[in-house]
Order: sequence, then C-alpha cells, then structure tokens
Amino acid sequence: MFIDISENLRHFFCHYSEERRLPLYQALVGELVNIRSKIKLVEDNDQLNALKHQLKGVCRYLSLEFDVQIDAITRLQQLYRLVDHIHGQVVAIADEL
Amino acid sequence: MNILIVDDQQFVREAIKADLIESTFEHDFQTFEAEDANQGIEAIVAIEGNIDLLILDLKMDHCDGMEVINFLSEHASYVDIPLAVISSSDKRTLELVGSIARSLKLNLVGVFEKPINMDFILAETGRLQSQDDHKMVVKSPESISDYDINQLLADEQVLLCFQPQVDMKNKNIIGFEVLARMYDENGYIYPDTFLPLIDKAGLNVDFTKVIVAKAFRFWANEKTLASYTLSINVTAEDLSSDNLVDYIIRHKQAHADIKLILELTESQEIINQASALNSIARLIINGIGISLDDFGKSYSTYERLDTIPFNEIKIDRSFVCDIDTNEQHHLIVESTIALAKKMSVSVVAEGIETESVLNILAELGCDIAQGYVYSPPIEGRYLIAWVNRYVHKDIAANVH
Repeated sequence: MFIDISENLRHFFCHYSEERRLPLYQALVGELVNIRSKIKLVEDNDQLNALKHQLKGVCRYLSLEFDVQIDAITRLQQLYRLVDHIHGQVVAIADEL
Repeated sequence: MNILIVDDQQFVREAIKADLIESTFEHDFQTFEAEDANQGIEAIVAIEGNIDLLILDLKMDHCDGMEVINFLSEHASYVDIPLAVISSSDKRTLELVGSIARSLKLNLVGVFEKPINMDFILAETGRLQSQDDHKMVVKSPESISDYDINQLLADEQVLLCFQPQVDMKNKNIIGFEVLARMYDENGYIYPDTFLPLIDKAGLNVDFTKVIVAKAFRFWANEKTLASYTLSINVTAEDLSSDNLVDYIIRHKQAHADIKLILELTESQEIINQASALNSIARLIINGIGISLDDFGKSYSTYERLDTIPFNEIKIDRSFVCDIDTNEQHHLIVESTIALAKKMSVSVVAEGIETESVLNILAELGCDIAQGYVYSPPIEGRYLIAWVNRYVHKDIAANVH
C-alpha cells in the first residue's frame, strides 16, 4: 500500500521561488513519465536496476523515504505501480504551484 | 562561475540549477548541461576546460561518470577542474569513487549523496580554490573589516547548520549541535574567521542572541525535531550577561518542549566568577542542560566538573580523532570516560571521522558520538530529509 506524499511534494516545491517551480514541476513530471515508459521496454535485470536507481534519485530529491521499498522491487509491475502512484500525486498538486 | 552539470536525469539537473539560483552565494552562475558522460566530455572540450565546478553523476545510462573521471585524469589541462561527484549509490561505493578520484590526483571537491547541498558544495569549492591561491570565495580574516562584521550581524547574515549526535548503544539520534556560518555576497565565512572578529568587536552576546533566536525558530517550526536535543554553544563571557541569560530563559519558557543544552566553551577564565556561576544555576533551574565543551583543553578541566553540575562533557576532538593510532590520546579518552561514568555524567565524543575510532569509543563506553562518520554539519533546509533517511536506514539495518 502506498502512502500519501503530497506534503513532501509541497515541502519540496515551496523551497523554490515561484518562477522556478514550474520548470521543476515539468521536469519532474517528464522524469516520471520517462521512467514509466521505459519500464515497458525492460528486458533484463540490469535495465530494471537502472530504472530503480533513477527513481531512487528522484525520490531522494523529494525527501521520499522509498530507498528500502525500491530496493525490494523485483518485478516490473511493482515498479510501474510505484512510479504511477508518485506521478498521480504530483499531477494532483499541479494547481497549487 | 561556469558550472557543468552531467546527469542523465533532467529533473535532477533542474533541481541543481534551482538550488544554484536559490543559493546564498550571489555568483553570476552560467550553467552547462550534459545528459551522459560522452556529452559531458564533449562539453568540457568545447568550453576548453573553462569550468569552475563540474557536478558529475556517477551512474548514468550509456556510459557512467567513471568515463569522465578517467578522461579528466588523462588530460593535464583538465585535471584541475573542481569535481563534485554525486550519486544515489550506497556510501561504500561513494567512498570507493572518492578514493579513486584522489588517487588520480583530481581536484576533488567531494563525493556527495543525493540530494546534494549546493551551498555546501559551493563553499567547499571556494575553500579548495582558496587553498590553491585561486579565486577566493571563502573570505580570509584580512578581507573582512569590523564594519562588515557589524553589518552582517545586524542583517542576521548567519546560516545555521546542525551536526547530529548519535547514541552509541542503539544508534538512535540523540540531538544536534548548532554550528553557525556567516555569509556575504562572496560566500561563506567560517567560524575561525568571524569569531575572533566578533570577539574583537565586542559582539559576542549579540551573536549568541541571533543564534538562539534562529535555532529556536527553526526547532519550533519542525515538529519532527521535538524529540531531539538542541545544543548551542555559549562562552563563559556570554554567561556574564544577565541580559543574554534572561533572553535564553525566555526562549526556553516560550518553548518548554525544546530540549535545550548549552555547550559551555571558554574564551576567558571567568567561569568561576560569581555572575557566571549564578547564570548557570538559573539556566539549570529553568530546565536547560549544561554541557562542558572541549573537555581536556584550555580551561575545561576537572575543576569545572567539581564546581558546576554539568549534564554532559564533550571530549575535545583533538583527543578523539586519532585514538586508534595515538596511545596517549587513547589513555586520556579512556580515563575521561571512566571518570564521567563515576560521576553519572554523559560523555560526548566529537570529531569522529572513521569507523575505527567509533568502534574504540564504543568499547570504552562512550555514550554519544558526533562527527563526519555520521554526517558533516547539515544546513537547516536539508535536516528533515537527513533525519528521515537516517531513521529509515536504521530501521532497515535492524530488520536485516
């Protein structure tokens, strides 16, 4: 079960001035969409691990404590669900920026 | 200042650029970006190595950061480019890469876990450059006047960093020591530069007031920190000021839940004066812990333990940092810990930089550890993320 991360997202964006928030937001959405689309193309474990590493980098910037959760992922579907969850919550706060 | 960011994640590059803009350093930054090592190498060549800071991700798609590291080491004209390696990899991998970069004689600013603290990296870059007699970013004492110090303090150009203190038995975070940096348009000014100037200008009390006010404001706003102690340095001279002591007590009374500890350092031998002892008594009565800082050095001696009911003593870093190789220091630390145990006083060891020193202190029964082995001082805005990461890792470690 995934947790609500909207507060972490707000906390992250409020550190930046208003003019920086939009480019950051767009880059974040783009990054998540990119990872999500790459999941469909994964053919081996190395590729899966590379995507997990990318997601970990994003999560750390957002102060999301997902390292353990990401390390434990073994199936593409698990990774897809987690990325999709984060993406959904990022999109949900778009109006607040 | 030309900064090249090599990272395969656009979001990370954007975050770094945003951090540069929000940085307390008011440089005119020009950023260049590359999304893999090959592009990074092309960019270095294209701008002819005219780079003041290269921020390099370690693990990237296609070819990794080691390609860039090897490229720099093979080209004498690029070997001096200040290099900050960043990654989400585990600590051991980061340490290994740091060792490799150093062995290749690169101009390594450091190896940093994501998310990076841009202000810290810029300050370290400035320090590195000043060591090489290049452009100064961290100011030298000679370049700051009394007027500057007065003005900086009036403008509260003080940045608080926090260094964790960890329980040596269960590895839980106990609290944090506040460490201040001043800054101006050119960058950080470190304590060894600004403290003598503040002392000379007679601004010690004003400076401590700024620290107290900022630290309380920060702690009160971050509920996650309520369970941790907040340690602030004060000098014996500070305690001679009734005005300051009242100020501290008022803050404590307004925030009774904040576990304040004052770390008493001594710039002059005035602690035995009645006014200072009276102040200490008032602080203790108001629920404020007192720690005897720099124990074993200068005026922090056994006499102090006899005079004042300290809650803890902090063994000076000069004795701690090399106890794995210095037999004399080992003996001093061992006897200090034994004495503290008999007096039922907690012992904090600061300046711990290696696992080896940490293990010896654990064997000797030291209570609390502080030092780079856990973390360098952390800028306030990154503190919660650090705490969460530490707590999470600890839970993971216990599970395994």
